[in-house]
Amino acid sequence: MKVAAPIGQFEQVVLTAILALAENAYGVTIHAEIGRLIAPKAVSLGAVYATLDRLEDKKLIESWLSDPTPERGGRSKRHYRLQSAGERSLRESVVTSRRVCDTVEGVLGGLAGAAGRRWNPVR
Amino acid sequence: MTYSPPRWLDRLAAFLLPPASAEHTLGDLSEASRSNADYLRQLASVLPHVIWSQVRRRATIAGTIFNAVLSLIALLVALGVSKGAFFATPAPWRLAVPWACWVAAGALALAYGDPRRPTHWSRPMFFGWVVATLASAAMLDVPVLRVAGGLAASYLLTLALTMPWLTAVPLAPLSSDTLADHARLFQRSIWWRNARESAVGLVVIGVNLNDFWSATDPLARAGHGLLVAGVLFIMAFLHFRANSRPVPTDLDPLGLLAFHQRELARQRDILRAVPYWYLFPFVPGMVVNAISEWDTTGGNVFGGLVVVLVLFVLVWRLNVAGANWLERKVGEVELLRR
Repeated sequence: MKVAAPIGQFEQVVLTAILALAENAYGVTIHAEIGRLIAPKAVSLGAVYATLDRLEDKKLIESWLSDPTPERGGRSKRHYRLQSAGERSLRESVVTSRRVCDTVEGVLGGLAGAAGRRWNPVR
Repeated sequence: MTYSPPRWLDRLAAFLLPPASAEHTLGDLSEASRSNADYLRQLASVLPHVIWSQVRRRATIAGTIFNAVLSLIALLVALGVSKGAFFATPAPWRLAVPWACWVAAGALALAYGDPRRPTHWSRPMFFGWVVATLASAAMLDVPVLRVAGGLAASYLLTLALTMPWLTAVPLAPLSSDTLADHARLFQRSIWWRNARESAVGLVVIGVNLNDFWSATDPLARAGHGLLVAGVLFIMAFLHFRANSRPVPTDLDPLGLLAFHQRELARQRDILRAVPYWYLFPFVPGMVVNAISEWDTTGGNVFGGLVVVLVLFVLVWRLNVAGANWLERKVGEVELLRR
Protein backbone atom coordinates (compact mmCIF):
# COMPACT_ATOMS: atom_id res chain seq x y z
CA MET A 1 0.00 0.00 0.00
CA LYS A 2 1.31 3.46 -0.90
CA VAL A 3 2.15 5.84 1.95
CA ALA A 4 0.23 9.13 1.85
CA ALA A 5 2.30 12.32 1.65
CA PRO A 6 2.05 14.27 4.92
CA ILE A 7 0.15 17.56 4.66
CA GLY A 8 -0.16 20.62 6.91
CA GLN A 9 -3.37 21.95 8.40
CA PHE A 10 -3.91 24.65 5.78
CA GLU A 11 -3.18 22.17 2.99
CA GLN A 12 -5.86 19.95 4.53
CA VAL A 13 -8.32 22.85 4.35
CA VAL A 14 -7.46 23.58 0.71
CA LEU A 15 -7.84 19.91 -0.27
CA THR A 16 -11.17 19.81 1.57
CA ALA A 17 -12.37 22.89 -0.31
CA ILE A 18 -11.40 21.36 -3.67
CA LEU A 19 -13.12 18.11 -2.73
CA ALA A 20 -16.29 19.95 -1.67
CA LEU A 21 -16.42 22.12 -4.79
CA ALA A 22 -15.92 19.17 -7.16
CA GLU A 23 -16.28 20.42 -10.76
CA ASN A 24 -16.47 24.08 -9.71
CA ALA A 25 -13.07 24.29 -7.96
CA TYR A 26 -11.02 27.26 -9.22
CA GLY A 27 -9.14 30.13 -7.53
CA VAL A 28 -12.07 32.33 -6.48
CA THR A 29 -14.45 29.55 -5.39
CA ILE A 30 -11.68 27.73 -3.51
CA HIS A 31 -10.81 31.01 -1.71
CA ALA A 32 -14.48 31.52 -0.78
CA GLU A 33 -14.91 27.93 0.41
CA ILE A 34 -11.77 28.19 2.53
CA GLY A 35 -13.15 31.42 4.03
CA ARG A 36 -16.28 29.50 5.02
CA LEU A 37 -14.29 26.61 6.48
CA ILE A 38 -11.93 28.69 8.60
CA ALA A 39 -14.35 31.50 9.59
CA PRO A 40 -13.98 33.78 11.48
CA LYS A 41 -10.35 33.77 10.33
CA ALA A 42 -9.59 35.14 6.85
CA VAL A 43 -6.95 34.26 4.30
CA SER A 44 -5.64 36.16 1.28
CA LEU A 45 -6.03 34.97 -2.30
CA GLY A 46 -2.21 34.97 -2.53
CA ALA A 47 -1.89 32.43 0.30
CA VAL A 48 -4.41 30.18 -1.47
CA TYR A 49 -2.42 30.45 -4.72
CA ALA A 50 0.81 29.54 -2.93
CA THR A 51 -0.77 26.45 -1.35
CA LEU A 52 -2.39 25.33 -4.59
CA ASP A 53 1.00 25.62 -6.25
CA ARG A 54 2.67 23.57 -3.52
CA LEU A 55 -0.01 20.87 -3.63
CA GLU A 56 0.38 20.64 -7.39
CA ASP A 57 4.14 20.22 -7.00
CA LYS A 58 3.49 17.42 -4.52
CA LYS A 59 1.21 15.85 -7.16
CA LEU A 60 -1.72 15.84 -4.73
CA ILE A 61 -3.87 17.92 -7.11
CA GLU A 62 -3.89 18.60 -10.83
CA SER A 63 -5.06 21.65 -12.76
CA TRP A 64 -6.15 22.64 -16.24
CA LEU A 65 -7.35 25.79 -17.97
CA SER A 66 -11.02 25.97 -18.92
CA ASP A 67 -12.41 27.77 -21.93
CA PRO A 68 -12.76 31.57 -21.54
CA THR A 69 -15.96 32.69 -19.80
CA PRO A 70 -17.74 35.98 -20.61
CA GLU A 71 -18.45 36.87 -16.95
CA ARG A 72 -14.73 37.20 -16.18
CA GLY A 73 -13.90 39.51 -19.05
CA GLY A 74 -13.30 36.56 -21.35
CA ARG A 75 -10.64 35.06 -19.09
CA SER A 76 -10.15 31.33 -18.54
CA LYS A 77 -10.38 29.65 -15.16
CA ARG A 78 -7.73 27.32 -13.78
CA HIS A 79 -9.68 24.37 -12.40
CA TYR A 80 -8.32 22.00 -9.79
CA ARG A 81 -9.15 18.46 -8.76
CA LEU A 82 -7.72 15.98 -6.30
CA GLN A 83 -5.41 13.23 -7.54
CA SER A 84 -5.59 9.82 -5.91
CA ALA A 85 -2.49 10.70 -3.82
CA GLY A 86 -4.29 13.85 -2.63
CA GLU A 87 -7.33 11.83 -1.59
CA ARG A 88 -5.11 9.44 0.35
CA SER A 89 -3.30 12.31 2.10
CA LEU A 90 -6.58 14.00 2.96
CA ARG A 91 -8.10 10.82 4.38
CA GLU A 92 -5.02 10.15 6.49
CA SER A 93 -4.83 13.71 7.82
CA VAL A 94 -8.55 13.67 8.67
CA VAL A 95 -8.11 10.47 10.68
CA THR A 96 -5.27 12.14 12.62
CA SER A 97 -7.36 15.29 13.17
CA ARG A 98 -10.27 13.21 14.41
CA ARG A 99 -8.03 11.44 16.92
CA VAL A 100 -6.66 14.80 18.13
CA CYS A 101 -10.17 16.20 18.41
CA ASP A 102 -11.48 13.19 20.34
CA THR A 103 -8.53 13.36 22.72
CA VAL A 104 -9.02 17.07 23.40
CA GLU A 105 -12.75 16.56 23.86
CA GLY A 106 -12.09 13.67 26.21
CA VAL A 107 -9.81 15.77 28.42
CA LEU A 108 -11.31 19.25 28.20
CA GLY A 109 -14.84 18.41 27.09
CA GLY A 110 -17.27 20.81 25.49
CA LEU A 111 -15.19 21.35 22.31
CA ALA A 112 -18.05 20.18 20.10
CA GLY A 113 -20.39 22.67 21.73
CA ALA A 114 -17.85 25.49 21.41
CA ALA A 115 -17.36 24.74 17.74
CA GLY A 116 -21.06 24.48 17.15
CA ARG A 117 -20.58 21.11 15.49
CA ARG A 118 -19.60 17.65 16.59
CA TRP A 119 -16.22 17.82 14.89
CA ASN A 120 -14.37 20.63 13.12
CA PRO A 121 -10.80 19.78 12.17
CA VAL A 122 -9.66 23.27 11.25
CA ARG A 123 -10.33 24.95 14.58
CA MET B 1 -23.72 44.50 -9.96
CA THR B 2 -20.46 42.70 -10.62
CA TYR B 3 -17.22 44.65 -10.58
CA SER B 4 -15.15 45.03 -13.72
CA PRO B 5 -11.70 46.64 -13.47
CA PRO B 6 -10.95 49.72 -15.62
CA ARG B 7 -8.76 49.10 -18.63
CA TRP B 8 -5.68 50.79 -17.11
CA LEU B 9 -5.87 48.55 -14.05
CA ASP B 10 -6.30 45.42 -16.14
CA ARG B 11 -3.31 46.44 -18.27
CA LEU B 12 -1.19 47.16 -15.20
CA ALA B 13 -1.99 43.72 -13.76
CA ALA B 14 -1.32 42.04 -17.13
CA PHE B 15 2.04 43.83 -17.30
CA LEU B 16 3.06 42.78 -13.79
CA LEU B 17 1.94 39.15 -13.95
CA PRO B 18 4.12 36.49 -15.61
CA PRO B 19 2.47 35.48 -18.93
CA ALA B 20 2.14 31.82 -17.87
CA SER B 21 -0.12 32.79 -14.96
CA ALA B 22 -1.76 35.93 -16.35
CA GLU B 23 -4.86 34.44 -17.95
CA HIS B 24 -6.53 32.77 -14.97
CA THR B 25 -5.10 35.19 -12.38
CA LEU B 26 -6.59 38.22 -14.17
CA GLY B 27 -9.94 36.43 -14.30
CA ASP B 28 -9.76 35.54 -10.59
CA LEU B 29 -8.79 39.12 -9.65
CA SER B 30 -11.65 40.53 -11.67
CA GLU B 31 -14.16 38.10 -10.16
CA ALA B 32 -12.92 38.35 -6.56
CA SER B 33 -12.68 42.17 -6.34
CA ARG B 34 -15.38 44.68 -5.47
CA SER B 35 -13.55 47.97 -6.17
CA ASN B 36 -10.31 49.30 -7.64
CA ALA B 37 -8.69 49.44 -4.19
CA ASP B 38 -9.77 45.85 -3.51
CA TYR B 39 -8.40 44.79 -6.92
CA LEU B 40 -5.02 46.38 -6.14
CA ARG B 41 -4.96 44.77 -2.69
CA GLN B 42 -5.71 41.33 -4.17
CA LEU B 43 -3.09 41.89 -6.89
CA ALA B 44 -0.48 42.78 -4.26
CA SER B 45 -1.31 39.60 -2.33
CA VAL B 46 -1.18 37.35 -5.39
CA LEU B 47 1.76 38.82 -7.30
CA PRO B 48 4.72 37.56 -5.17
CA HIS B 49 3.31 34.01 -5.12
CA VAL B 50 2.66 33.95 -8.85
CA ILE B 51 6.14 35.28 -9.68
CA TRP B 52 7.78 32.85 -7.28
CA SER B 53 5.77 29.99 -8.75
CA GLN B 54 7.02 30.78 -12.26
CA VAL B 55 10.60 31.25 -11.04
CA ARG B 56 10.44 27.76 -9.50
CA ARG B 57 8.88 26.18 -12.57
CA ARG B 58 10.80 27.90 -15.36
CA ALA B 59 14.08 29.17 -13.92
CA THR B 60 14.13 26.43 -11.22
CA ILE B 61 15.77 26.78 -7.80
CA ALA B 62 18.83 24.77 -8.92
CA GLY B 63 19.25 26.97 -12.03
CA THR B 64 19.00 30.16 -9.96
CA ILE B 65 21.54 28.90 -7.42
CA PHE B 66 23.82 27.89 -10.28
CA ASN B 67 23.55 31.37 -11.80
CA ALA B 68 24.16 32.96 -8.39
CA VAL B 69 27.30 30.91 -7.71
CA LEU B 70 28.72 31.27 -11.22
CA SER B 71 28.15 35.05 -11.37
CA LEU B 72 29.57 35.53 -7.87
CA ILE B 73 32.76 33.69 -8.86
CA ALA B 74 32.94 35.72 -12.11
CA LEU B 75 32.49 39.01 -10.19
CA LEU B 76 35.09 38.07 -7.59
CA VAL B 77 37.60 37.20 -10.33
CA ALA B 78 36.80 40.37 -12.32
CA LEU B 79 37.23 42.55 -9.24
CA GLY B 80 40.55 40.91 -8.40
CA VAL B 81 39.69 39.15 -5.19
CA SER B 82 43.06 37.39 -5.11
CA LYS B 83 44.94 40.68 -5.27
CA GLY B 84 42.61 42.38 -2.82
CA ALA B 85 42.31 45.55 -4.93
CA PHE B 86 38.58 45.88 -4.42
CA PHE B 87 38.26 43.91 -1.22
CA ALA B 88 40.88 45.94 0.62
CA THR B 89 38.26 48.68 0.85
CA PRO B 90 35.99 48.40 3.88
CA ALA B 91 32.76 47.76 2.00
CA PRO B 92 32.82 44.59 -0.14
CA TRP B 93 29.14 44.15 0.74
CA ARG B 94 28.43 46.83 -1.89
CA LEU B 95 28.87 44.06 -4.44
CA ALA B 96 25.80 42.30 -3.01
CA VAL B 97 23.33 44.73 -4.63
CA PRO B 98 24.50 44.46 -8.27
CA TRP B 99 24.99 40.72 -7.79
CA ALA B 100 21.41 40.31 -6.46
CA CYS B 101 20.10 42.38 -9.43
CA TRP B 102 21.94 40.06 -11.82
CA VAL B 103 20.53 36.90 -10.19
CA ALA B 104 17.05 38.48 -10.35
CA ALA B 105 17.63 39.29 -14.04
CA GLY B 106 18.21 35.62 -14.88
CA ALA B 107 15.36 34.25 -12.76
CA LEU B 108 12.75 36.85 -13.75
CA ALA B 109 13.65 36.83 -17.46
CA LEU B 110 12.79 33.11 -17.56
CA ALA B 111 9.75 33.51 -15.29
CA TYR B 112 8.32 36.10 -17.70
CA GLY B 113 9.16 34.11 -20.85
CA ASP B 114 6.67 32.87 -23.42
CA PRO B 115 4.65 30.10 -21.68
CA ARG B 116 4.49 28.04 -24.88
CA ARG B 117 8.31 27.76 -24.99
CA PRO B 118 9.92 26.37 -21.84
CA THR B 119 13.36 27.94 -22.40
CA HIS B 120 12.17 31.30 -23.78
CA TRP B 121 13.22 34.35 -21.74
CA SER B 122 11.87 37.87 -21.70
CA ARG B 123 14.48 40.20 -23.18
CA PRO B 124 12.92 43.46 -21.87
CA MET B 125 12.89 41.99 -18.36
CA PHE B 126 16.47 40.74 -18.67
CA PHE B 127 17.96 43.95 -20.04
CA GLY B 128 15.94 46.05 -17.59
CA TRP B 129 17.56 44.21 -14.71
CA VAL B 130 20.99 44.36 -16.37
CA VAL B 131 20.63 48.16 -16.46
CA ALA B 132 19.62 48.04 -12.78
CA THR B 133 22.70 45.89 -12.07
CA LEU B 134 25.11 48.33 -13.70
CA ALA B 135 23.34 51.40 -12.28
CA SER B 136 23.51 50.00 -8.75
CA ALA B 137 27.21 49.20 -9.24
CA ALA B 138 27.84 52.79 -10.36
CA MET B 139 25.88 54.25 -7.45
CA LEU B 140 27.73 52.07 -4.92
CA ASP B 141 31.10 52.94 -6.40
CA VAL B 142 31.86 49.42 -7.62
CA PRO B 143 34.00 49.42 -10.84
CA VAL B 144 31.27 49.23 -13.51
CA LEU B 145 33.45 48.01 -16.39
CA ARG B 146 34.85 45.16 -14.32
CA VAL B 147 31.36 44.19 -13.16
CA ALA B 148 30.14 44.26 -16.79
CA GLY B 149 33.11 42.12 -17.89
CA GLY B 150 32.62 39.57 -15.12
CA LEU B 151 28.89 39.27 -15.78
CA ALA B 152 29.43 39.02 -19.55
CA ALA B 153 31.82 36.11 -18.94
CA SER B 154 29.28 34.50 -16.61
CA TYR B 155 26.54 34.97 -19.24
CA LEU B 156 28.62 33.43 -22.04
CA LEU B 157 29.60 30.49 -19.85
CA THR B 158 25.96 29.91 -18.91
CA LEU B 159 25.00 29.98 -22.60
CA ALA B 160 27.71 27.43 -23.39
CA LEU B 161 26.62 25.17 -20.54
CA THR B 162 22.94 25.25 -21.45
CA MET B 163 23.34 25.20 -25.24
CA PRO B 164 21.77 21.75 -25.85
CA TRP B 165 18.57 22.82 -24.07
CA LEU B 166 18.39 26.37 -25.45
CA THR B 167 18.79 25.27 -29.05
CA ALA B 168 16.72 22.12 -28.77
CA VAL B 169 13.33 22.03 -30.44
CA PRO B 170 10.81 20.92 -27.78
CA LEU B 171 10.32 17.20 -28.26
CA ALA B 172 7.05 15.35 -28.16
CA PRO B 173 6.89 12.57 -25.52
CA LEU B 174 8.92 9.46 -26.29
CA SER B 175 7.24 7.28 -28.91
CA SER B 176 8.37 5.17 -31.85
CA ASP B 177 8.05 8.30 -34.05
CA THR B 178 10.19 10.55 -31.82
CA LEU B 179 12.69 7.92 -30.68
CA ALA B 180 15.41 8.97 -33.15
CA ASP B 181 15.06 12.65 -32.13
CA HIS B 182 15.28 11.74 -28.43
CA ALA B 183 18.37 9.62 -29.06
CA ARG B 184 20.08 12.41 -31.05
CA LEU B 185 19.26 15.06 -28.43
CA PHE B 186 20.64 12.82 -25.70
CA GLN B 187 23.91 12.25 -27.57
CA ARG B 188 24.17 15.97 -28.29
CA SER B 189 23.78 16.84 -24.61
CA ILE B 190 26.52 14.29 -23.76
CA TRP B 191 28.80 15.87 -26.37
CA TRP B 192 28.22 19.33 -24.88
CA ARG B 193 28.81 18.06 -21.36
CA ASN B 194 32.15 16.56 -22.39
CA ALA B 195 33.08 19.71 -24.34
CA ARG B 196 32.45 22.08 -21.42
CA GLU B 197 34.14 19.73 -18.91
CA SER B 198 37.17 19.56 -21.23
CA ALA B 199 37.22 23.36 -21.60
CA VAL B 200 37.15 23.80 -17.82
CA GLY B 201 39.80 21.07 -17.54
CA LEU B 202 42.11 22.97 -19.91
CA VAL B 203 41.76 26.10 -17.75
CA VAL B 204 42.58 24.10 -14.60
CA ILE B 205 45.59 22.54 -16.34
CA GLY B 206 46.80 25.99 -17.46
CA VAL B 207 46.52 27.45 -13.95
CA ASN B 208 48.30 24.48 -12.38
CA LEU B 209 51.08 24.41 -14.99
CA ASN B 210 51.69 28.09 -14.27
CA ASP B 211 51.85 27.32 -10.52
CA PHE B 212 54.05 24.30 -11.25
CA TRP B 213 56.70 26.41 -13.01
CA SER B 214 56.56 29.28 -10.53
CA ALA B 215 56.66 27.12 -7.35
CA THR B 216 59.99 26.74 -5.57
CA ASP B 217 58.92 24.10 -3.05
CA PRO B 218 59.27 20.59 -4.58
CA LEU B 219 56.22 19.40 -2.62
CA ALA B 220 54.08 22.21 -4.07
CA ARG B 221 55.37 21.33 -7.54
CA ALA B 222 54.43 17.70 -6.98
CA GLY B 223 50.95 18.78 -5.86
CA HIS B 224 50.31 20.87 -8.98
CA GLY B 225 51.78 18.11 -11.16
CA LEU B 226 49.42 15.57 -9.60
CA LEU B 227 46.47 17.89 -10.17
CA VAL B 228 47.40 18.21 -13.85
CA ALA B 229 47.67 14.41 -14.07
CA GLY B 230 44.25 14.07 -12.38
CA VAL B 231 42.56 16.44 -14.83
CA LEU B 232 44.22 14.69 -17.79
CA PHE B 233 42.85 11.39 -16.50
CA ILE B 234 39.33 12.87 -16.26
CA MET B 235 39.55 14.31 -19.78
CA ALA B 236 40.75 10.96 -21.13
CA PHE B 237 37.93 9.18 -19.32
CA LEU B 238 35.38 11.57 -20.83
CA HIS B 239 36.85 11.08 -24.29
CA PHE B 240 37.24 7.29 -24.28
CA ARG B 241 34.68 5.94 -21.79
CA ALA B 242 31.98 8.58 -21.34
CA ASN B 243 31.95 9.80 -24.94
CA SER B 244 28.88 10.51 -27.06
CA ARG B 245 28.20 8.09 -29.90
CA PRO B 246 26.57 8.89 -33.23
CA VAL B 247 23.04 7.54 -33.56
CA PRO B 248 23.10 4.84 -36.27
CA THR B 249 20.86 5.64 -39.21
CA ASP B 250 20.60 2.10 -40.57
CA LEU B 251 18.87 0.49 -37.58
CA ASP B 252 15.26 -0.72 -37.51
CA PRO B 253 13.05 0.74 -34.72
CA LEU B 254 13.80 -2.12 -32.32
CA GLY B 255 17.53 -1.79 -32.96
CA LEU B 256 17.35 1.95 -32.37
CA LEU B 257 15.40 1.36 -29.18
CA ALA B 258 18.05 -1.06 -27.93
CA PHE B 259 20.83 1.41 -28.84
CA HIS B 260 19.17 4.31 -26.99
CA GLN B 261 18.45 2.17 -23.94
CA ARG B 262 22.05 0.91 -23.84
CA GLU B 263 23.36 4.47 -24.10
CA LEU B 264 21.09 5.75 -21.31
CA ALA B 265 22.20 2.87 -19.08
CA ARG B 266 25.88 3.48 -19.94
CA GLN B 267 25.70 7.17 -19.01
CA ARG B 268 23.68 6.32 -15.89
CA ASP B 269 26.43 3.96 -14.70
CA ILE B 270 29.07 6.60 -15.51
CA LEU B 271 27.25 9.16 -13.34
CA ARG B 272 26.95 6.65 -10.51
CA ALA B 273 30.72 6.11 -10.66
CA VAL B 274 31.51 9.84 -10.46
CA PRO B 275 33.32 9.60 -7.07
CA TYR B 276 35.89 7.24 -8.63
CA TRP B 277 36.68 8.84 -11.99
CA TYR B 278 35.75 12.50 -11.44
CA LEU B 279 36.35 13.31 -7.78
CA PHE B 280 39.08 10.95 -6.63
CA PRO B 281 41.66 12.00 -9.31
CA PHE B 282 41.79 15.43 -7.63
CA VAL B 283 42.51 14.02 -4.17
CA PRO B 284 46.26 13.16 -4.38
CA GLY B 285 47.18 16.59 -5.78
CA MET B 286 45.00 18.43 -3.27
CA VAL B 287 46.37 16.49 -0.32
CA VAL B 288 49.98 17.13 -1.39
CA ASN B 289 49.20 20.82 -1.95
CA ALA B 290 47.54 21.05 1.48
CA ILE B 291 50.61 19.48 3.13
CA SER B 292 52.96 21.83 1.28
CA GLU B 293 50.99 24.91 2.39
CA TRP B 294 50.21 23.76 5.93
CA ASP B 295 53.22 25.45 7.56
CA THR B 296 52.48 28.87 6.08
CA THR B 297 48.68 29.01 6.06
CA GLY B 298 47.63 26.17 8.45
CA GLY B 299 44.05 27.14 9.35
CA ASN B 300 43.21 28.46 5.90
CA VAL B 301 44.20 25.14 4.33
CA PHE B 302 41.86 23.32 6.72
CA GLY B 303 39.01 25.70 5.87
CA GLY B 304 39.71 25.26 2.17
CA LEU B 305 39.59 21.47 2.52
CA VAL B 306 36.21 21.70 4.26
CA VAL B 307 34.88 23.83 1.38
CA VAL B 308 36.25 21.32 -1.15
CA LEU B 309 34.66 18.45 0.77
CA VAL B 310 31.27 20.20 0.70
CA LEU B 311 31.68 20.83 -3.04
CA PHE B 312 32.57 17.16 -3.60
CA VAL B 313 29.45 16.00 -1.75
CA LEU B 314 27.35 18.47 -3.78
CA VAL B 315 28.80 17.23 -7.08
CA TRP B 316 28.27 13.61 -6.02
CA ARG B 317 24.62 14.22 -5.03
CA LEU B 318 23.90 16.12 -8.25
CA ASN B 319 25.28 13.22 -10.26
CA VAL B 320 23.26 10.71 -8.25
CA ALA B 321 20.16 12.78 -9.08
CA GLY B 322 21.22 12.74 -12.75
CA ALA B 323 21.69 8.95 -12.64
CA ASN B 324 18.22 8.52 -11.11
CA TRP B 325 16.75 10.67 -13.89
CA LEU B 326 18.47 8.49 -16.48
CA GLU B 327 17.17 5.39 -14.69
CA ARG B 328 13.63 6.71 -15.20
CA LYS B 329 14.41 7.31 -18.89
CA VAL B 330 15.65 3.71 -19.21
CA GLY B 331 12.31 2.62 -17.72
CA GLU B 332 10.39 4.73 -20.26
CA VAL B 333 12.30 3.13 -23.14
CA GLU B 334 11.64 -0.31 -21.65
CA LEU B 335 7.91 0.46 -21.55
CA LEU B 336 8.00 1.53 -25.19
CA ARG B 337 9.92 -1.63 -26.15
CA ARG B 338 7.22 -3.82 -24.54
